[in-house]
Amino acid sequence: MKTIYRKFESAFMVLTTFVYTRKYLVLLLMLLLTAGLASQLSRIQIDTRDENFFHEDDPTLVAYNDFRERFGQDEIFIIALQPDNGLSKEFFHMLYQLHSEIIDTVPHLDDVTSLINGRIVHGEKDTLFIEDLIEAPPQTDEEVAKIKELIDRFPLFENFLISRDRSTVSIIIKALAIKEEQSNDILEGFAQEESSEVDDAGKYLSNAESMEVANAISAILDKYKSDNLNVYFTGTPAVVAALQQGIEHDLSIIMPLSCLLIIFFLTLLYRRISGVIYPLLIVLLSLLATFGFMALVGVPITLVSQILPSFLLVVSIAHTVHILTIFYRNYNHGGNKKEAIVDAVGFAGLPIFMTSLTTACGLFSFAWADMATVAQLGYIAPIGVFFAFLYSIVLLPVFIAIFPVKRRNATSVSSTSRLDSTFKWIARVTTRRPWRVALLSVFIISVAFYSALNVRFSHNISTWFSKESDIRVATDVLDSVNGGSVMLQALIDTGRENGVHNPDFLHRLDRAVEDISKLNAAGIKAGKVWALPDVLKETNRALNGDLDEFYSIPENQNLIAQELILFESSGSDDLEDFTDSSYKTALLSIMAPFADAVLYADYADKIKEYLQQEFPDSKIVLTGKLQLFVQIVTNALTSMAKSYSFAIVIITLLMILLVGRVRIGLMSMAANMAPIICILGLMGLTGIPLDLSTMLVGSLVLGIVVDDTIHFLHHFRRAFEQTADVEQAVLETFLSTGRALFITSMVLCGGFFIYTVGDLANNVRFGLISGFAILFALAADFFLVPSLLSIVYRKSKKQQDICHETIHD
Amino acid sequence: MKLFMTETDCQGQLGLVARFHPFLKVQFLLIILLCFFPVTFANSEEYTAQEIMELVDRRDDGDKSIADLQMLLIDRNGTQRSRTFRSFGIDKGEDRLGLMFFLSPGDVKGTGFLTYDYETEDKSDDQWLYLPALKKVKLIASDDKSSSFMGSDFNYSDFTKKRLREYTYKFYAKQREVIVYDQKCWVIVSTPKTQRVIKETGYTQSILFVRQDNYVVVRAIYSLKDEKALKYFDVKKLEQIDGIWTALEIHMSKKKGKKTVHKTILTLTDIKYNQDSVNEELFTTRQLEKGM
Repeated sequence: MKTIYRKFESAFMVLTTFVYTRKYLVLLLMLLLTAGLASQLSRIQIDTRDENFFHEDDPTLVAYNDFRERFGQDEIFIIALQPDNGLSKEFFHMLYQLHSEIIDTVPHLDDVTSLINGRIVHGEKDTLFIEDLIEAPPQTDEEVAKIKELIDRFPLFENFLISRDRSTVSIIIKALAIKEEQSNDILEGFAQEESSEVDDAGKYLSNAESMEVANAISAILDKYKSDNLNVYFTGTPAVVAALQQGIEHDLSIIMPLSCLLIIFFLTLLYRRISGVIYPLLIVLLSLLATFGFMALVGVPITLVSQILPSFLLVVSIAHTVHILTIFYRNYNHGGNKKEAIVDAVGFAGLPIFMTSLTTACGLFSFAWADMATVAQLGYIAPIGVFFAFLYSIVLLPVFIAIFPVKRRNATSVSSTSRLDSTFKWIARVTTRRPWRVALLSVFIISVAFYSALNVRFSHNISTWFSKESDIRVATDVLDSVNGGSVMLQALIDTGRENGVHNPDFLHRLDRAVEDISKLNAAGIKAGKVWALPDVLKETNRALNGDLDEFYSIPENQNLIAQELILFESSGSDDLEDFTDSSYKTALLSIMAPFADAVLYADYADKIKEYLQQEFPDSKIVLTGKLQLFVQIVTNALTSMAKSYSFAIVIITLLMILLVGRVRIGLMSMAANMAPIICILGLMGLTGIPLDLSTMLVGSLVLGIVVDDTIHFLHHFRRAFEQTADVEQAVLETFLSTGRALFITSMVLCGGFFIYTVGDLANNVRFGLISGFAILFALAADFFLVPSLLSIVYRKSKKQQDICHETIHD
Repeated sequence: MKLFMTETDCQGQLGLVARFHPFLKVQFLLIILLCFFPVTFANSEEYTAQEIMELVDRRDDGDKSIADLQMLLIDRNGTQRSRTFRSFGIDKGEDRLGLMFFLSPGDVKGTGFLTYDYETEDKSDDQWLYLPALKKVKLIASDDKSSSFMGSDFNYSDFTKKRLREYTYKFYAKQREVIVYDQKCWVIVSTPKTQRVIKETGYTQSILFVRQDNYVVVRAIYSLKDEKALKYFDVKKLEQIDGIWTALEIHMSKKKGKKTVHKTILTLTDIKYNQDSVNEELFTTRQLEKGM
């Protein structure tokens, strides 16, 4: 084993010598590489759409896309208007104008619905009226009264276009589900018609296009806000848009602050410009290269991959600090600059390589995740880790070779002595009382484990926004007045053409609408439920002199078919809101409040169970945004379980391989697992849920703690070779690697705690959890690892000797 | 929203449909018109867009017609549905009367529509609906002709004659002339003069392809008022029946960008003009209730 280590060391030394000598050439090559990748950066995209969490062949996404192709967009933007003076003439004028302006100016629109074009069918004697609710803005109070009366006659409007208490009026906006590819010459349309019946332009609206829609609507709304009109803008696509803005905003604050903080810490610890600039430059270049690479291969920044900057920060800072700490020590002790850096890279190169390898392998295990965004991270992050390794190993010697470094007395930093005495104390305690330390650790881990059992999974994007944010306020208003804004669609497939015309089927569907409206499962109650019977009843009533007793489903199947012909003839686009064109599948639409996706899962299960019971001969498919949320949770849980188990197995094997001994490898893994359990315990204690961002902290913790352990073990092994005394070796390790670990941990801790200034709650939680994760990882390596080493190495004098001999082999 | 068309008059871009379609008949005959309003430009090779549309308008599109119609509705997934009708049409002065019954599918057989399409814009069209399962005739009140005709991509205004005075016409700037199915066509942009017409027809603008030899509109592109979509009207089969140019197959496709979201293929069979059995007594609510 020793010879392999030595070979690696000399290889790194040869490399560094080469780099040091050919510094300008190497610098040029590295800068060219970086510039090449960075030139792609302008193409990088942010994508926060929920569809993005899914692999293309995920059955849930396939069903959702199939739904969108058959029935159109299910996601709705909702504008809610609350006029102080109620439904006045002026209000309807404003609504009319706003409705028209949206149609005229917002891009990628599919459909706009409000009271203005709400369809009404009503009858008077032998005359049937089919019209828009507000054909023209009302001029008199009588006309306003007439409109209000009509609104009361049509239950379909309630809690959709207008709230039950009549305080809030909504405009429902659907963007196109499928992107329109514009022809330059509209005359070409005929030719396309001849060439193919079905064209391949089936591209879904992109995140950027959805953002355009959201921004265009927001811009219009700004003009309409006034003292006596409250305007709210929400709906799931608006939430996604707000989330993207939130991420952009937070990143733009957090990243610079994080850098400042790191500068502060590095300055404090090294008191050298080089000690600050070099690590930062290397972090920056690694980030540029990684994000440039993402842009090159077309991987967007997502809710998941936004963790990458933090991750690479961790990795690069650790690498550079480990090398620099040794370099400064060598250099300050009077070594020549070249020798000092060659020696430092030679010494730290292997553990840095090993940590990079374990981190990359651990991350690569995400590539099998059921969640597409997590899987993407599994491919991209190892590449980032590789860049961080490359830049640290190559650029640091180049910088040191090119720029002068001041020699300084090693003892000039006053804090060092205090830190050293602390290290001495820790080394003494952990090596002289290893069992106590180990047992205390076991106790703490047990408590944490118990607390970790309380950790629950959660996915509720709306809670990521602060209670005062526009989007949260709007969502809460809609939830309270209309009972929701998130759509769940149930497709009930009768299996035969015109199956929906069957009166018995329609009666059951009507009952389902009523039952599901009343259903309260997992604390969720739909604000509105609707289906074909609702329009059929309206039509039937209108055909029968507007008598309320005819607000019912006709018993005669032919009459149903005939009434539906009438319905189709009064605006055929509406049909796809209720059934497919062959009347084979009925659509049951449910609008639910924003809630935790974990609760949605129970709610959707109850609904599916109910529908399967009521329609045993039909095929039931649940889809829509709400169902996507449900599946995101399921996929997140399976992804986590799979990826983490896989990562732990791979890392354990690598540790055993790298340490060269099974027992030490296993022992180190025990120490590596401790901080993860502690973090989960902390989450259980504070009630922070596992969600899409906190679930990734585990990878970060694992990455950091494994790195720390590898550095620690690597140094310990060398020291033990020389001293053959555990306490001496541990102390020696503390004074070199320990110091570097301490520095990197402080720097990173600060860098993560900075996240708590973010607007999005998920960023705040992520920062807190990650910061503590680093502290826990440090604690494990400072206390648990040395005590376990002591136990293993000192179990008996005899065994120790054997160990000793083995190491010297 | 609503059933049926209203007024009549002339622009006749859909005169062909109108021709066979009973609801929509042009009133005045070309010869009579020519007598009363002699057109000095008739021999000129250089027509203005307005003049061309007047020629379109005056074209004979038949009277006292009977025809069987099949509408094939094709949705974006390629699912097809067929609906067949028998239709009758007659001209009454400058107004048009139409009567139409569903032949299939079976559950809507006998469902009928009667329409009075008035030339003057002062009077709303009258439309009656008969549902056999309800055994009741209903007058349908609506000014809007922009909603779907029986679930197809045609709307009611497609079957009515446009009043020339309500539009401005000019040649399509990019291309004044094109060849369509080996025939030279003028390309004319028709723009409604008022919001009322836009609301009524549902179209903000139309591009019409007028055949130079017989003044039939063989293609058209309509820009929709309520959504960013275009409708492509394409006469695939045009023949002379009893000396009257009649479209026998029309495709109407609704497209968003390059994607066809819905399409209707309308075919006509057994077209007969000048039938004695088609008289004004046929176009009554009594007849509507009685069926064919």
